[in-house]
Amino acid sequence: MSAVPNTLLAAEKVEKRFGGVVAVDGIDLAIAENEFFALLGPSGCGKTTLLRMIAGFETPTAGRLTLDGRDITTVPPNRRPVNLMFQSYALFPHMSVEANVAYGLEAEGRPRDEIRRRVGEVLELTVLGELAKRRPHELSGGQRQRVALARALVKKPRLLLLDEPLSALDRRLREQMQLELKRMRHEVGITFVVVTHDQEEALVMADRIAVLDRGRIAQLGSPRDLYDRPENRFTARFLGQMNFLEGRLGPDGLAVDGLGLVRGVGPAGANGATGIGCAAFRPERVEITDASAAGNALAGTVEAIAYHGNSQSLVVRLDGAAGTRIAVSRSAGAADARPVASGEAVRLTVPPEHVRLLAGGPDTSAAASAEADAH
Amino acid sequence: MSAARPSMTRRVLKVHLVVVYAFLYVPIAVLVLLSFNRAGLPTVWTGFSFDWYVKLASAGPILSAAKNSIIVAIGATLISTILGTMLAFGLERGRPSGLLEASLVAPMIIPDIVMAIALLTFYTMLQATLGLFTIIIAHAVFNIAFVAAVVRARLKNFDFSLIEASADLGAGPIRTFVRVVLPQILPGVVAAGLLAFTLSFDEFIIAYFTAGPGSASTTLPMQIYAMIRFGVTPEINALATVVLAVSVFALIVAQRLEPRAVR
Repeated sequence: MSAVPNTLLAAEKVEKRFGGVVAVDGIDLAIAENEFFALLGPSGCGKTTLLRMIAGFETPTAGRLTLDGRDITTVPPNRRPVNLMFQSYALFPHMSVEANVAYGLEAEGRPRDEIRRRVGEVLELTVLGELAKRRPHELSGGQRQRVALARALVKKPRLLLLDEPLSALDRRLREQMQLELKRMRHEVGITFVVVTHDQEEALVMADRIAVLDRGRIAQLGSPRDLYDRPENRFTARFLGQMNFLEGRLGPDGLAVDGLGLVRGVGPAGANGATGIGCAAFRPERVEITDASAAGNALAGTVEAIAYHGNSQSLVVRLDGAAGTRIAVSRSAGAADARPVASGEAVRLTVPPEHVRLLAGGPDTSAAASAEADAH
Repeated sequence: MSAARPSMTRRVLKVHLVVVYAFLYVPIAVLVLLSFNRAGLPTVWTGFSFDWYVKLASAGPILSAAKNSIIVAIGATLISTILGTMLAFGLERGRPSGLLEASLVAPMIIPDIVMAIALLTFYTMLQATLGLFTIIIAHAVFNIAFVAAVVRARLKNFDFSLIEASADLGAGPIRTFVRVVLPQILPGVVAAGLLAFTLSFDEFIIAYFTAGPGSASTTLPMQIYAMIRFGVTPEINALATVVLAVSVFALIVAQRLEPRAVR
């Protein structure tokens, strides 16, 4: 894994079994210094187990973890320059905010005035100064989250791990904290690794994302890579909304019953794979056209329209392709320029550069995609 | 008339309640009352007096028995509180085991006399010298079960991720225990300790069997038993009242500590 420059944390063939169950199945990973890295996946994909191994609460069954090139596979959690922000926050209920934050520095045996100074700085960074004397139960969810963050940041860890950091907050606060976390990371210059099942959270915050499926990395890349260029069905389905057309892959594209050839790009198209496959495209990449334009032409009937204010989403039942329903998302501008009504027959175009041709049948990760649908 | 029936039932139940409570507490009340009776007669009230308590305070054998009882109770409490708390943690965190659960309850329900004989046999087998020390160990045996039960109730609300959080922040096991775990479970541990103290302080059968010959390791209940063979004296009433007061006090403190959730 020398592909990443300035590697801070490296996982080499890390594996974890609990009895007969494989939670993490041979993961190779390199996280760069100062990166905001996300481990994304449905529950049970092994992301939390991987995080706990990095923190030191679990020991890998096989494989190696290194930090700054030093093997930390079996180093106990209290001797790693790594801190974890717990999903439950795990604040000490009998201590004030200040004492919670100072705890880690006291454990290091830092001098008193240094502790006071650093605690003060971190409380300021996390906007907790006025709450220093409060106990955790006197704080709101968002404030508790910030205390948990402050308690970890004050240690100036090489690596800060965040386990579902925002899951306990309501939607509005969550969006605010996503940006706050990004800001604080820039200020403190610490490498962040966040575990989340929330794809939006990962897309907003992370520089790079590893999508995990059943203990393996399904795909690793920048948010844009993953969203625009998924390499398999699991990633395609897990991130955002995606339309799938099923068919047989050939040298020129995907042959779909009743639709003809759907052209596209992607791993299956590039290496000339043949066999069962699919064409995946985003609802926002579908255009409603009046004349037949260049690209993949489709036709269908509008079955439902949902209005979202800034956009409009349609469900269109295709002519051919066994009546597959696809989702179409249109910006407010496009919807105004060419209004459609429910029941109307429409022509659609999907530019081939926005169609991903992926190999494999729809059942290859049925369980995992059902999980993704739930979100 | 049918409306009168529930209130009739209720009245009968009320009387029943009073009778049951009287049955439970009148003998004790009489005992306490008679300990303040000026004359030494158990039948006639001749006026209020602390005489018997004063007399108690100057009776050598009683004082030495009281001292023994306190030594035994403190010793048994320390051992059982430490071991019982550890056991509670193990049971709460470890793999669930029906066998371990059941064996924990056993010392609480095994008849004292069986326990007493078993312990005596065991000590004899080990050729241990019977005395205060053997009583302490014997009391610790059944107390561990009670302590573990009380501490476990407390641990049900304990967030074990706090232990991981403490380790994550760089604290070793000792710091974690002293700074994080103990403050959280202390009320439960103190309550368990007080319970252990009262159970040990007035325990008779097991102490009687494991004390060995001679008066050097006579505890308070054993002393009372010895005195009572010559009739119930107001002195014994006073002594029993003291024992009662100690036990009730400890239990009240223990109960006060127990249900309150410290956040």
